[in-house]
Amino acid sequence: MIRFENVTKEYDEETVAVRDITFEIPSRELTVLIGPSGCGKTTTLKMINRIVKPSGGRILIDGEDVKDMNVKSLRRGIGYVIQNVGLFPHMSVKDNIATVPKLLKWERSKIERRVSELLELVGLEPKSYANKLPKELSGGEAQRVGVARALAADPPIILMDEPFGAVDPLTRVRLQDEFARIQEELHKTIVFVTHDIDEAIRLADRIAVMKAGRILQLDTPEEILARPKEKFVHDFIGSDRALKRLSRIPVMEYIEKCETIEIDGGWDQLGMTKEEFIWALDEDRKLVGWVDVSHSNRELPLREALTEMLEEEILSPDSTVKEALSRMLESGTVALPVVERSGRFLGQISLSKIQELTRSDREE
Amino acid sequence: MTGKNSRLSSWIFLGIFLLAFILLISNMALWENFLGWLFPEEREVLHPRGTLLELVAEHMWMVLVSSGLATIIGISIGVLVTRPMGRQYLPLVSNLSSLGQTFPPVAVLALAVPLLGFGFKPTVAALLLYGLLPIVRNTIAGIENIPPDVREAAYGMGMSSWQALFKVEFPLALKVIMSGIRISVVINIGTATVGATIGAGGLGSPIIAGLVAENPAFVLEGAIPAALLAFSVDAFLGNLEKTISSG
Repeated sequence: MIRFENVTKEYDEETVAVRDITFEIPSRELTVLIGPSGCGKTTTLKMINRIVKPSGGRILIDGEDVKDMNVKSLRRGIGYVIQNVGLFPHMSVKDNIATVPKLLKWERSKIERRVSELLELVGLEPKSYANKLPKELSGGEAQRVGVARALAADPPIILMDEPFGAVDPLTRVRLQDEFARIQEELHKTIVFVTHDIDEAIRLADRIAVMKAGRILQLDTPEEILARPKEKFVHDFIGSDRALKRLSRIPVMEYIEKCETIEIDGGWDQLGMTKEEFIWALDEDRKLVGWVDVSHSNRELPLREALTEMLEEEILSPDSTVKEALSRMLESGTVALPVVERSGRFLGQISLSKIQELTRSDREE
Repeated sequence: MTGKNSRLSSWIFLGIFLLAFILLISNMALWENFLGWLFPEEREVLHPRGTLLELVAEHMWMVLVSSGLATIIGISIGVLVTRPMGRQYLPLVSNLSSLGQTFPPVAVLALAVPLLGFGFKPTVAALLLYGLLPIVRNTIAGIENIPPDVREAAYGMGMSSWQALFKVEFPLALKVIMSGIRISVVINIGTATVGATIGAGGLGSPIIAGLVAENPAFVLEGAIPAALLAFSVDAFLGNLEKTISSG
């Protein structure tokens, strides 16, 4: 756990970057510091590894004041991903990643193993990337190497200063997704600075919204989206707050059980259903499409009434409700099926259910 | 691959050039015939102080000692003033090194004589001072021009000031430092000829003697090898620079 106690940073009387902040960053979680430029978020981050020296207050890591620690061992124990990556241009990808292990005097074979392991973790093929120079990498690849370098000595804490800032939006989303997966696996204590609210909502366990050197609100993304404490936080989140909330909710939370039909069975499976259409499954409970119940000629076999689904009309269990909503609007339907990777049908998510649940949230 | 090939061919070219240079200066009869043909009215066309090979060796020794010392001292000064502890002297040193370049070498020599007397020592001292400046300046420029995020990454990962210097700053500044050394050495090869005025020998001896005795053959005997020497050393260090910086 990282604890800030009455921490202040003033460069002179006029420029105060951080004003008397007290808060805690829980272990094994990703805490995002967010705010407009000049709000003190980067200064706050850099005081943890003593790149910036606080003017007042203290910062404790697991109860120990960072000021009392040896600065080199403090920094070697904290992964650091800086803005613009900052890879060493004269060193290969391998040597860049090996920086801290070498400082810690690891054995060569251990370093080699670790480098390949990390390259694989960040999705770069070790054989083809280990010996490349930073100038031979694309922006996205360089950012991945930056992340791998920060993880090299397996530090419990990682500081990230706008790590995905310098890449195009498409690459950024992919890097965020991959990074979320890595964090899922490693559970590091991460302090993450960004000015991008979507990035914060996508990655954070907790978000600290900062303005003019103060923390206005520190909460889970769900809480900040549902109950922004001040006008500034409200405005900063933007007017699509409801949609952003849906982007935090996995479809599995809104999934409904519903009627299905076995495609190789007969019409008599239906009984007295009131549904207008029904999902059709095969004998292994894999989705094959849907059947229009009210307008089909029941004289013909069931297969004749089947409509197959487009791939983009099928949701996976890790899709978000926002994605579900967007696909419904796109395809003009009021419900979509959720299907496991194996093809097995799990249930459906419907427009009316989304409306019902968002309405009840508001009334809470 | 083309980069490697062109580097190799420039080394081969340089080797041939150097070989030709050594053959040229070791063949005194050739010079006598050539200068005699150019200046038939001169009674003497070769300076009696020594063979060209000896003069070139004297000259190179002066340059080697002074540039060697200038490199060691210059890089040390440049590194020291870019450390946190020496940073307060950075403006002073960089101003002095730009100012120093405007001093004519003869004036530096004239100032060195009262302190160190005549001959080899004062010449080397003057060349050392003079050759120091481009090296100090380029060392500072090379280190100061490293992108701040690279330096921040180095310190942020827990390198000490010296580790950051040797692992990151120095390798990145090497190309610029190397070109400082090249400038310094080439300037010194030219400037060392002035050393002959205070009896240091070298390729300056025939030049100065020729000027005093109004014998143009002597002047050419010193000036041509000095120019060729400067050329080949420049090419050699230039090649070295490229080879190092492209890894």
